[in-house]
Amino acid sequence: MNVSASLTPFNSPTQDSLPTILDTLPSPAIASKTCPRRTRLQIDLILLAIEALELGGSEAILAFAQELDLKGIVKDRVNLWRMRSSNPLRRAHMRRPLTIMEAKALVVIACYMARRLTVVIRQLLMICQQMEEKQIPLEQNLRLSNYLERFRAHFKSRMNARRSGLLALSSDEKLDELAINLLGQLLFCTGTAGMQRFWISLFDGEVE
Amino acid sequence: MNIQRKYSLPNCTLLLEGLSDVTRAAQFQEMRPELSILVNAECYLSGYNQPLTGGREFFESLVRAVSGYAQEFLSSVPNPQAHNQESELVEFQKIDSNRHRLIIHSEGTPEGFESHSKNSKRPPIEIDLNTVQLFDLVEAVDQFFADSQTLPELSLELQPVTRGYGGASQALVRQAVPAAVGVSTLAVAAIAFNLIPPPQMRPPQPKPDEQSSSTTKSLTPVASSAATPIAAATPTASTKPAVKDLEALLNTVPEITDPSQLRALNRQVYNQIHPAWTNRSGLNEELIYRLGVAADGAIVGYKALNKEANLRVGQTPLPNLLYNPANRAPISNEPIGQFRVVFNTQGVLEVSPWRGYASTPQVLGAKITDSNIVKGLNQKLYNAVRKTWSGTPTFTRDLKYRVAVNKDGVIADYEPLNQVAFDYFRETPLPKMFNAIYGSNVAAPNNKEPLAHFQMIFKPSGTLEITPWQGYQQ
Repeated sequence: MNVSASLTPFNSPTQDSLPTILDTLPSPAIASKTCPRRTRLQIDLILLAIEALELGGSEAILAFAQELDLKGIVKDRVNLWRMRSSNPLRRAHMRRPLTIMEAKALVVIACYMARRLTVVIRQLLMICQQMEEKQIPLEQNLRLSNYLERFRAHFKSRMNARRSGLLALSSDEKLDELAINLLGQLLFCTGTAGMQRFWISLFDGEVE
Repeated sequence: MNIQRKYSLPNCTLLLEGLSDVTRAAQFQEMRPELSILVNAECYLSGYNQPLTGGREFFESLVRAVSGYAQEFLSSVPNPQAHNQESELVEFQKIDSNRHRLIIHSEGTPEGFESHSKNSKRPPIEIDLNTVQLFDLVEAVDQFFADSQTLPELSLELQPVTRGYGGASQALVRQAVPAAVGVSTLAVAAIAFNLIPPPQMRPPQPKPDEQSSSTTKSLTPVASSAATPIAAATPTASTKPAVKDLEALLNTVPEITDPSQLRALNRQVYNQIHPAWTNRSGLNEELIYRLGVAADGAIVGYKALNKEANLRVGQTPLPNLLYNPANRAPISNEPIGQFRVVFNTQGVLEVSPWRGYASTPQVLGAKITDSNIVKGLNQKLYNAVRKTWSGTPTFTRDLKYRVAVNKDGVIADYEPLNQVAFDYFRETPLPKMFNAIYGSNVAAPNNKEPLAHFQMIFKPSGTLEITPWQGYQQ
């Protein structure tokens, strides 16, 4: 009957429910409980961009799952890989659905990781801006070219370019453009309401 | 009272000036007053000397356009809210993936919008922002949304763009070749404006979370009436003197241990800190404090319990909330209750009695016990709440409250019993009902007359349940 001093003052109804952190993301008004194609693609790509920014990114994803109490959803490396393989662009694409709950967990993790990388993300985008203003190729900046190279390498090793279809991500230039766009999206994820904004945007054009 | 609020980012500063509702402000001298009437809004963008200025219409239009365009930036699906040239003062145009044009039409021509007499207006102001500048503008707006003491009726409302325009495959094309498609999409988006239904999804007030210290929010109430603690209770940068004070105090005064009193004080402590903790981002580690609280809820001292808490006490509202001996008789031999207060990295505030509750706490004060009267009051309360609670709830779990009414059925107190109840309290009519009577959401509960207590449950299905109070479930 005693409440230990470390508990919150409210009786959170957590026994039966999922981690409360997921409550900050509303469920979209879509018919199925699984994610549309673009949502699956976009979540995997944003994680790919994080991995290009941070060595050991996939380990960090699991570490964050632990820290954010999302281990019940993102269980282990294999489980994570299966979820990400729901991205239709993947070489090892699996016709496995990605549930809304799984997508929420991955978005929460991605946004927390992005927040930790805020400074790097901002700096890279500013460098990018300056290089474009001076019309210097992006590769001439060491930090930026490291990021772009790693993103391209990750992308090529994991994605099936022929499946990219309309994306037409065949050339390095296209991949660089995608990598920079993702960097901008990551910056938005770091904001006060970034997690909610990113989440809702994943369902643009998908609700009736 | 004139109030200023400032949301500062490296490339953008949003400055709001306004007034607080006098009737409410009077009740709440110590707290950060609510800016409820906007007089003037200024938006400073790096690279432009002149701020964008305007009144309420301009500001509301700005936050709508910024919010809509932020979503469009993320999804590459055109967002009607960002391009509403017809009825909005502010709109955006996408130039390319790294250039975003902010357009501000002049405000307040007498002809209004119907006549489209663009000739009589000044030409619109156009400002091109890069992605980082755009983000800073979005972030300033989001910090404003997260600030519950500034125009609280404006809150972040996000919903996905509906199908029918901007299908998935088109979005992919745009992401790959943004420069080519960006501008041409605007015309099509304009057609879609009228097809957009009103918002269905209304997420809770954003919970500001940890983020890098590269962005800062500074809030500057002018003419602040905030308490200025004097030396005896003032923590210096190192908080050492406060530590001594608290511990010395606890050695000489009796401690409050009654669980019911602790529970009531727990709420008062929470209600003081919660609204005053405005900048909830930038904590890398949770900050833990031990608080001493007098029987009337005044915070008389605190002690940092981890190193981070010691270093970052300035980021918490605690220094400002320490009781002000000028307003209140000095602490001499009053009993003190102790609490553990945690500011966690996710922006969540936790308050709990330092030693827990020795037994299940009871609600304080005299009770109305006659079962017939309680039954009547139950029905009266049900009718009053039912009348004002309608629409589709956005929450997905039961919101549980304890609600107390006096013999006339007037609401005297309400207390959220679970976290969702706290997060979604604005969706219930309770704060409005309470506010209408007491002029504040967090006024001290009315304990002077006998009350009837109820448990009230708002269900996601729209059902309302009220049952006589059975005590706190421990």
